[in-house]
Parts: sequence; structure tokens; C-alpha cells
Amino acid sequence: MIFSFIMQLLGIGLILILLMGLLSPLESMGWWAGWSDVDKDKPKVAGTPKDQETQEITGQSEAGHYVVYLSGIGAIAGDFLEKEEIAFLDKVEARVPGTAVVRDVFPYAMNNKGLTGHRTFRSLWQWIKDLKLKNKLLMSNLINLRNLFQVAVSADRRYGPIYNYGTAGVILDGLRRKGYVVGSGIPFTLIGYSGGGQIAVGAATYLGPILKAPIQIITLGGVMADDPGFANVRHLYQFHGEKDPVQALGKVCYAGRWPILPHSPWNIALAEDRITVIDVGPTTHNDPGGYFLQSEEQKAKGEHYQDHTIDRIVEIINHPTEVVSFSDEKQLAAGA
Amino acid sequence: MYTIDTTTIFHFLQTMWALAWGAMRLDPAAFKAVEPAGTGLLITAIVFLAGVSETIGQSVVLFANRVKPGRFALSLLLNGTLFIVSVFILTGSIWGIAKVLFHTDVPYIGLLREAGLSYAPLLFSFFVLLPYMGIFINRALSVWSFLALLVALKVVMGFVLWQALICSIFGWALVQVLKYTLGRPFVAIERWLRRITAGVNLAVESPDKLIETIIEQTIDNPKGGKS
Repeated sequence: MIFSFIMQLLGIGLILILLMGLLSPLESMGWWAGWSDVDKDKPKVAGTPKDQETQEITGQSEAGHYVVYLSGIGAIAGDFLEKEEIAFLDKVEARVPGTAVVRDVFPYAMNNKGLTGHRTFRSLWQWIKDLKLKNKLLMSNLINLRNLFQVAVSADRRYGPIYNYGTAGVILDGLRRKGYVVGSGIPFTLIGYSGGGQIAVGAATYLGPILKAPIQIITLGGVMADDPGFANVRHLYQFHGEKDPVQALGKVCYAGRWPILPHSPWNIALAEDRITVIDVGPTTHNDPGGYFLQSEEQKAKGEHYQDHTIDRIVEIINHPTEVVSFSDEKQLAAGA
Repeated sequence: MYTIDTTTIFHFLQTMWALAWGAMRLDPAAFKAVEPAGTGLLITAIVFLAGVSETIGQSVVLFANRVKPGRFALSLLLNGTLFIVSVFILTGSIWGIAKVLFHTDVPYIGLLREAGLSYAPLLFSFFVLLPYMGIFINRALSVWSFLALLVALKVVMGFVLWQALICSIFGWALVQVLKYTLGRPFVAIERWLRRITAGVNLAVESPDKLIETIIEQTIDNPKGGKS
């Protein structure tokens, strides 16, 4: 009796997951085709409005370097980051003078439209967000699942060109809000946590030709496919925790990351020494004890992996046009 | 055992699903069950729905070309219809090959129903929409449908496996050859039909082409394209 009930629940769960998967490409596809309301404010990738256009021909960016942070699949909206992410970005920002940090980008939807914005299921996401704020995390797996499918859409060669164009526009809007001038050639860094890694690489497909500026990407437990965007990435620094099995998913799931396909974008980047893998120590994918927040056990042992990670990220950001080396890094050889 | 009952819409749908499910299980009895006349509408419905399902699965092409919602729905119906036409063509090709190579005397119309039923696995083509897994599902469904066609040929023609394989492979190859030779005007008509139904020129056919188009239209040419 109980077994049958559990099986029924599992069956319903599986159907719901399949349904979410089937619907997942439709938001970005509908946006591109002009079916959705979001269409009204599609990203103006190539310029416009008029005054900004003029500034972009003659003006200067406000900062000497730009950083855009792309959160993981637990993200709800551009204006809502976890406390540990905010603390991490505060620490980084304080140590990179002259660099503007963009931290209000929601990488899992078109036009920075967070889950609690004007959407059909807005009330559901708001309810889950409220539960999350009360530390009731079970339902927040729905957010993870929803955004995980968006990462898969970005990585899918059929949908990626459209999805990544949308997120490139969102990132570009974020850069402009901080005074970035298109055409200035000012370098910028994308920091992607977890699925944010794939979003960063995907968006590079268009950010490269639009901005014509050096792009470097830093991923923290980044899950990435063999995206064509790698062609536009000057250098990728991949921070990974020894206890983080999630970051290996991209390596397993996407054939283009297997050594048997040497001409895939990922393997070409590897062969050109444009990928550096940095071991951050025995950290997990999620916090505490992950990339941002020390766990009680780590505190007791006096381990400061998160602080070391920040030191290295600051070093990378402060050298946006160079390749920074660390003593314990692993430069991936082709085929690794 | 399959009972053909089309007296009400409910029974029609029930029978259609039972036959489709039987074909998916590669059950020879399902193919035997559609041999009698009067099952044509059931098979036509299966093939039509498979065509609609396939268009949903491959709808990225329509979205990429910015087809409007109404035109999108029309394109689904058109593909369902074209699927029916494709069954006639493929069956004709296989039937011709079987006649020439193995001197079979099965009537064309007899083979048509069984070959149509072999499209049943493609009813699940809408799953191709799924990101990441969709491409694998597409291939799996093609193989599944091919296996169903082999069973159909074995049942209706009394073939052994190698004969069914030869007929289906050569039949498919003949259709491909015809597409690029005598069938070119028909291919052109098909493209024209798709274009007028979609209401736009379906120029974007591949992801690489889409990236190229976006960069050309919106980045290299800031004043034009999408804004």
C-alpha cells in the first residue's frame, strides 16, 4: 500500500519534471519569436537609445575594468543574491579599485526578468522565495530544477544561439548600467558560479563580437558544455573543489568535452592553453563549506579555502589582460 | 488481440492507442490487425499526429524564423499532412523494390496501412523538445520507427529479416535519390507550402546559421535587424 503510494508520487514527480523540461526552451524561444510580452523590451544589443549611441561612439567607460557576477541555479532574481554571495562580492570589490562590479544580472531568463517578476507562476516563485528566506529549503529545489533546465537550454546547440543571445543582452545591459561603453575595448571578467559558468561561456558567443574587448571567465564549480562561445574567451579560470562532484557534470555529459573530439571548442581552448584549472581544496559545491562560506568544521580546523579563493580571484581581476599563474594550479593538457 | 472499434470517438481513440502501443512494442499482431480494410482512418490519424508531434519536437526551426502563433499552428497541421504524403511515397518505393527484387504480389494498399502504423513511435517526437536529451531521443525514435517498419514488412510481405532490411534500406535510398532528381519539383512545392504556411522565409535551418544571422543582422549592422 505504502509502496504503491510512493511509486505513484514518484511517477507524478517524474511527469512534472518532464513537463518542466519540455516547457523550458519555450520562454526564450517565445521571446525570440516575439510571442511574449518581454518582446516589448528586447535587449538593444547594438546601440540605442540615441544619447547612449552618441556616447558609445565618442565616450569613455567609467571604470578601467568590469566584472559581471552570474549566480548559480539557485538564483531567483537579479536583485536577490544569497548572503554568502553578497559577502564574497563585497570582499572582492573592496580589493579591486578601478573595477566596476555588476551583481544584479539574472542569468536564467531573458531581459533580467527574475522569477518573482511579472510571470505566470510569479506567486509560486514568491512563495518558494519566502520559504527559502525562512530557511525551509525543500521547495527551493524547484528553482534549482527550473534553472538547471535553462542551463541545459543554453548548452543545447539548437536553443543555445537564441538563449545565449538573450543573456548576452542582459549582461550587456548590466555593463551599461555601470557605465561601460560599447566599443571602448575595456576588458571585462565574467564570474560564473555553477550553472553561471555555462551562461558566461554561452554569452561570450555574442559579447566577443559586440564588445571587441578581452573576455576572461572565472568559474566557481562551473558546469559547462563545449560551447562555441569558447572561441571568444581569452582565458578561463576554473576553480573547483575537491569535494564538488557537480562541476564534473559538464565533463561527463557533453561529448565535446571528451578527449576523443579534439576539434570541439572546449578541446581547442585546451590545446591553446586558454584554460586553467585551480584546485581550491576540499570544498563542496554548496555552502557552508563550499566556494563562499566557511563551514563550522573548516573554522575549527583553521582552514580558509574561501579566503584563498578570493585572493586568487582578486589577482586574476587585477590582471585582466594577462594569464595569471598560481603555484598549485593545473594547466589542463589537451585530452585531460 | 486487437479489436477494431471505431463506433464512437472514444472507441476510435482507444483503438488507435492500442494499435500504436502494439506497434511500439513491435508486436506483429498489431500489424496483422490493420490488414483488413476499414482501418485506413486509424492509420491516417496515427501518421498525422506523428507529424504534428514531430513539428512540436523540431519547433526550434519555426521559432528561430519568428513564425507567428497562428502560423505555427498551421505549420503543425501542414506537417501532419505531409507526413501522410511521405508514407505514400516511402511505401511506394519499398513496394516497388520488393516487387522487383523478391517478386512479391502484396497489393500496394495492403502495405500502406502497415507501413503507416510503423510511424507510431514518432508520436513521442514532441519529447525531442527536451534540452540536452532531445537530440538523442530523436535518433532513438528514428531507430524505433525503423524497427517497427521491419516488423511490418515481415508481417505483410512474409519476409525474413534480411529481406525486410534490404527493402527498407533500398526503399529509403530510392526516395533520397528521387528527392534530388525527378522529385525536385515536388521538393520545391513542399518548401513553398511550408514557407507560405509559416508566413516567413524559413531561412534559418541550423544553429550555426542562426548565430551567423544574429551577428550579421544585429551586431555588424547596428541600424538594421532586430532591435
